[in-house]
Amino acid sequence: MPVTAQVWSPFEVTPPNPADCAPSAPLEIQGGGPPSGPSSRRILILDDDQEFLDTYSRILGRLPSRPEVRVATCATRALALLDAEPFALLITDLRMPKIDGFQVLLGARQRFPALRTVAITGLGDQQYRARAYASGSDLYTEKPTTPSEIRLFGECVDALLTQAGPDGGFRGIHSKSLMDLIQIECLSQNSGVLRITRGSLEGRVWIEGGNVIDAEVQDTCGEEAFRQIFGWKTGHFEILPGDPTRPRTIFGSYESLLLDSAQTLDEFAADSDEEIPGEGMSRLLQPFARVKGVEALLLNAGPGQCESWGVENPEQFAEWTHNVLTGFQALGALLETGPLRAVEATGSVRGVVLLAQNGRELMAGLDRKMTARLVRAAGMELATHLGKE
Amino acid sequence: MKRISKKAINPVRFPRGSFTVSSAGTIVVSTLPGAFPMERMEAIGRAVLSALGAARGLGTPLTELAADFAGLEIRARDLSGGAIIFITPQEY
Repeated sequence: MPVTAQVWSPFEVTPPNPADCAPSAPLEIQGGGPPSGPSSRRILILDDDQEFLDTYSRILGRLPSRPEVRVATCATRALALLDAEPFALLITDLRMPKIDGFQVLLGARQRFPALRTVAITGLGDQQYRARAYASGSDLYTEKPTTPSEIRLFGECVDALLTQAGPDGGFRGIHSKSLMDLIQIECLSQNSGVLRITRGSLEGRVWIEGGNVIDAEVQDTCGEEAFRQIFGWKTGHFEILPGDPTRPRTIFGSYESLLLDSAQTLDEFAADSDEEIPGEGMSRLLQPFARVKGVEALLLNAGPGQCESWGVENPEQFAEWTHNVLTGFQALGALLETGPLRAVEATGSVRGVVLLAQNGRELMAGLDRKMTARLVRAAGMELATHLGKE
Repeated sequence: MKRISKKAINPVRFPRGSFTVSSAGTIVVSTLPGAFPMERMEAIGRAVLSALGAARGLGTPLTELAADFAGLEIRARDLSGGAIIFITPQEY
């Protein structure tokens, strides 16, 4: 289906040379390298449909990042261009004669790890999508046909171009949040399971026919799990085949779900601009890390059994925690006040909660902006988790 | 019939009030009843100053610290090495 450019104005295109498209050329990619400078905004579009190339080179050329767009009508030509010049992004059709898009993606991913890739196809096929992601594609999308789809596609491409570095955002849609990722899947009315990992945490979002039907992270399911996953700012994702047998626990529209989750995040951000922790942490500490405002943790279960996260000098803090807790416990015994429930503190650097239960001592470092009342609330929640462990 | 006598239970009643302790651990001023033993105030002061001082030494200065017991809350505010300490019985 021909697509008209309704969003951005025309751009000069370098036409491909059909003579370069040798059908028997081997899929061997040489040279090239990660883009830098102006090449960080250079896009290569590969499609055997010249009309598509003309249209999308105009559309993408008018993106806010003003990329330089090159085109190729066959894989061999595309690979030669990749070999000769550094590109930031490769957009490739999947179904092409001779060398198809999957082969190109595999080769490009292997040879140019920094190259972002978008697989684009006219067929909405689950197997295609799974294969595209398995081939290392950063984004799989059907060819947009409506103005809103074209605009969304342009935004995704622009995001891939403007966001550099492997540590920001989700692999595949750098600078784009999970909101964009889920919107793309739902707008395409896809079915699949979005598996998202962040450090040792793993979450899953089930999408069926363009609707978010369930989510799961650790022991939590449904909307609550979705909100937790939604708060992750970085991570990796992969799309697994759909699971039509998954019971539906989320019944609202995906738009309202995204809106509610975004509002929840905003409310959280108003109190604390720290992101939800999860990476570089043992499983033992993870329940405590989910308590609002927690920035650092130290769990001392005895000699040689000290787990910490976000604590620069854990040995010293473990000793301080032990001394403070035993000091106040001794004081409690002297005063006959009953058991010590918690020691809580606010400070200019950090708030602190100290707890002791069943021979284990916990220190939690909290956001310094938290008031004494919030520190106490956090302490009560932490004590509940410590009691469960 | 043997007479059953019960030992009278005298629950510990904590006063409500505050006192100030210097960085040396000396009680400077107190609003607690005179019956409240000085050595208990000093013991509270030592525990508080020790916790605040060690935290400061670790680069995590604390402005306010609370020890939450089943029957009593001790809340202390740092005063440049000393502390003002509030004693509040827990209410149920």
